[in-house]
Amino acid sequence: MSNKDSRFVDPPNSLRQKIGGDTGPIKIDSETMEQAQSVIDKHAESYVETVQAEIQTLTETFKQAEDDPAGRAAHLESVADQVHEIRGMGGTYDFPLITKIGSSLYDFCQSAEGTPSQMEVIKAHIDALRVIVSQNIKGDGGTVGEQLLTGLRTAASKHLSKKDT
Amino acid sequence: MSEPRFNLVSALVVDDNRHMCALLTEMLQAIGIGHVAKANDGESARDMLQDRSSSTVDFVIADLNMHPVDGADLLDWVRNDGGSPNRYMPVIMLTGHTEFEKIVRLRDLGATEILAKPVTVNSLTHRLISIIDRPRRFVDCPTYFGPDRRRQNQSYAGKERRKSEPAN
Repeated sequence: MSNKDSRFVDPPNSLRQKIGGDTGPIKIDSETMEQAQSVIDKHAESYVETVQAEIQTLTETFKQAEDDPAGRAAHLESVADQVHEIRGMGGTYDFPLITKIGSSLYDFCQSAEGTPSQMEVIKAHIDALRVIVSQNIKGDGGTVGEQLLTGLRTAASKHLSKKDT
Repeated sequence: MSEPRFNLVSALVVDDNRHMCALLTEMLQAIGIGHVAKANDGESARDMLQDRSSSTVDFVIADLNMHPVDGADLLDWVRNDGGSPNRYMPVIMLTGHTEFEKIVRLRDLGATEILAKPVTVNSLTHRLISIIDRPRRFVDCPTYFGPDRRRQNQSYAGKERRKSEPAN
């Protein structure tokens, strides 16, 4: 480099030193790869049951938000936290709609004030999540999945900035 | 080709999604990584990395979206803070956001690799092999500290402005 304040640094490759062996390219054998895949498969088996329980908890938290207007903001924060957990794993187990709808709900909760129309939007998202899991809708859900996602996003966008009168 | 012996390697997985944290931890263990520590947010990860009594962490996998200290904050701390235990630490950033500007931001903060969700065995092992087999030299300049961001040496028809060869 021409700038005297800038330089290249070659840090020691401590990982290579620990792993040992020659300096050739690393190859992970097929048996090890299969073991790692079996971890994903094992988690996938329990995923539906886990996410159903999480959606039930989410539903109960939302109900608390409905019943407690004074504490609604705090309850909606909890809704956002819980849906953040739910959305994170959908794609890994071939439930990308859970991730996308979860993200839509999470983003909406960041700005929602808990007006009646906004609560309807939140409820629609939670209902959609429940249907996707109960109906085992994997992948993008086809045309129905696309329409569902578009509808929820449109509703979120429409009601985010409007205060109910 | 060499058979890796990962049993001496220590990793830190940082994710506030407990499912993802468990999944990555168990996948790394299945691959043979000897010690995998877990942290549920960037702040806890900083504490663990600063704890000199704990075993030395060789690389970090950190999710981008976390609260209150996210993965980008953690990466920035590792690369640029005086309290960082190893500014050259390989950091693999995990993200579901693969929009160009977000990837560029992570690159400019000094991410070693980006691991996009959904995670697969191939994507994880590819990043792992990359940080061992193809470590990049670091650039230390007033505006950036991190792995050389020039990863390719393609033919270029425009005016050559590079002053030196890119990293291998």
